[in-house]
Amino acid sequence: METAPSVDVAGAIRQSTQLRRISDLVKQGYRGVRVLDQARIAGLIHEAVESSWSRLRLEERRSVERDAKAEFLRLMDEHRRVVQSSEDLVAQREELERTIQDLRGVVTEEKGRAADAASFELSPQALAVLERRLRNTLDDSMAEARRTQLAMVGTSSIGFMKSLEARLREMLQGIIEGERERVKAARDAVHSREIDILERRIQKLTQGLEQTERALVSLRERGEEDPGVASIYRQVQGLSTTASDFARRREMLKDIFQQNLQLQMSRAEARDLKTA
Amino acid sequence: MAERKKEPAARGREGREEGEGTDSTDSPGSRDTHPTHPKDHGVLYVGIDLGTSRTSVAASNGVRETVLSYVGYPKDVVSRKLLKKDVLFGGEALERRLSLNLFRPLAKGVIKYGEMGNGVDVQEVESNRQAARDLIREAIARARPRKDELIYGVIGAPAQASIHNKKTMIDATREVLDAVMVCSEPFSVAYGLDILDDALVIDIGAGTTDLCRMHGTLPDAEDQITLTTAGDYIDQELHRRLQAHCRGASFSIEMVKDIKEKYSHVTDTSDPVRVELPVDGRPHTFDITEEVREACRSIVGPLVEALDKLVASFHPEFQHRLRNNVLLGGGGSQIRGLGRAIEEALQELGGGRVRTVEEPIYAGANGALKMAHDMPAEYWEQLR
Ligand SMILES: Nc1ncnc2c1ncn2[C@@H]1O[C@H](COP(=O)(O)OP(=O)(O)OP(=O)(O)O)[C@@H](O)[C@H]1O
Ligand SMILES: [Mg+2]
Repeated sequence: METAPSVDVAGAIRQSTQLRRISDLVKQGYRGVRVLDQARIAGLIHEAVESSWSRLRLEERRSVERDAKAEFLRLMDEHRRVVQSSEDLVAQREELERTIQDLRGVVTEEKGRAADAASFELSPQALAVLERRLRNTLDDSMAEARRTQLAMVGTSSIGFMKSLEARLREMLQGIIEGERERVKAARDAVHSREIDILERRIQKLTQGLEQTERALVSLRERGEEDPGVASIYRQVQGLSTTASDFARRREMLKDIFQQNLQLQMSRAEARDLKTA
Repeated sequence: MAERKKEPAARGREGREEGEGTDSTDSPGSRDTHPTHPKDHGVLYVGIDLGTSRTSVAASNGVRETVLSYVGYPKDVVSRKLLKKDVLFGGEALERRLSLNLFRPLAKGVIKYGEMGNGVDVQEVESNRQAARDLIREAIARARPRKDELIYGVIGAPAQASIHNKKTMIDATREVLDAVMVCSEPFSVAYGLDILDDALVIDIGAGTTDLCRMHGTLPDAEDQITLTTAGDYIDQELHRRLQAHCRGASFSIEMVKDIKEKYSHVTDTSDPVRVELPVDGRPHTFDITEEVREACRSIVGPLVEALDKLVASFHPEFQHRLRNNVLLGGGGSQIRGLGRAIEEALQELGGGRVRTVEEPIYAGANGALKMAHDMPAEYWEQLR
């Protein structure tokens, strides 16, 4: 079939159309999409076919027809998918919203748990209290020990007691400092790792949500075109022969029509004159 | 019987009540399911009443809409960005008028400056014409036609619209209607109410009061009188009277119109009309009962005079029939006691009976819709 390439229906259609995913367009910042309507597509096919129809043999015509039809169906399918994607987007948005909601819950929980853990393991305040209590206990026992030692071994032991007290204090200080560091590090770790990750995920999901929302808006803007409300009539009606005053009404309607015919004829004539 | 009737909630839609159409029992929704078969394409009729103050549309899909006849275009890029629209209509346009170039394209009932060359700025003429086109298109869009249906429309044009005006109206509908006819507005009101003979229809609009004598055939020039004593005229009268009466008060013509629509009456007895108007920035109460009544009465004299003229020039033996069958419509027919006042004035001229139409706002559009429905198929075919 050497003449086949001369009829490029798909090409003709492709020339006049662009097929792109809404999501891609949204990424490129498109807000509205213009969709070629069915009638126009059919018209294009017709045009493409008509132009070289006469030059083709029968089987070639068949194949062209087939191609055209296939291409048309493909385009219609694409169109349907665009419409469908509007519904998909709504579902996607709901899913995203749900996920974000869940994650927010997790973050709050995690933060709460981190705080709980810290206060359980020793908050700075708790540490201070502990420290104070330990000191008091130490002081008490030192005083007690001093008294008994004094009674038992006399004043010679006082030097030893003093150095013991100093060492104990030192040790305690060390424990408390260490604990303080540990709690802080643990808290930082919890926060920086889990919470940060969660927060980053939320941020990302929010971006996704915004994107979905934008895509929805653009789809809606395009879909804003009201499909309209259907008439209750499928055919031209006309005055019913059973209408009251039928003859008179018919005369009046005829007069109105004729006035309008004149109005619109002279308009057409004027236009014809101009173009002539 | 001339008392004002309350606007009924829903009177059956014209065309819908008719049982004569082969498909008239279809519910409007049932057609949504088969939009792809050309054979099933519907026929949508629309009736449009193009008025100075409001434009109404009624369609055979059950939609009825009315929009104030204002058209506004954003003054600059910033306004356009803010308003997110290239053109605004009706109340919305009026509300945003500070950032718009506002048009009321139908002065005195016809497209403003329809005839060129009376010394008006060409740009101004073109702008008004554009606004009229946009308004008509908007009215049709508000009827929510489906793309796959044939749309046949009848436009009720002011009785005195020139050929040029009618052509402009027809042109404006070219892109949206498959075929269109214009007809005289008072006639479409009468046709919609099945009043075909021996009646006088009076349509009191904003720009004009149209009187039309019905006698069984299409009314011609002799059957119609158009007066400019209508709603806008009352507004100006009231404005003038309030300026004299309410010393120091400041108010706009729009405020005056609101006051009128709230308190209009021509009866001798009425509840006192008291309004608050700012004087030096402080609210001040004025009793304006007298002013409102007198302003409203200002249209009665010319109206009765014109009515008398149409009666007197009619066949003597049928004059009483005309007089006893006067029908008041249009927004101005809502003035309290107007029908009675006209009847009283007619008393001196041999008496008469005046009724007020039930739906002053949609009477014109309903009639145009009914006419579109009744028009035979071959007529529409020839105008496509
Ligand atoms: N309650 C009321 N009392 C008095 N006047 C009223 C009332 N309601 C509306 N109007 C007036 O009716 C007029 C509008 O009537 P309508 O909508 O019939 O006019 P239109 O068809 O736009 O004008 P036209 O027929 O002159 O082109 C306005 O002047 C309005 O102020
Ligand atoms: Mg009117």
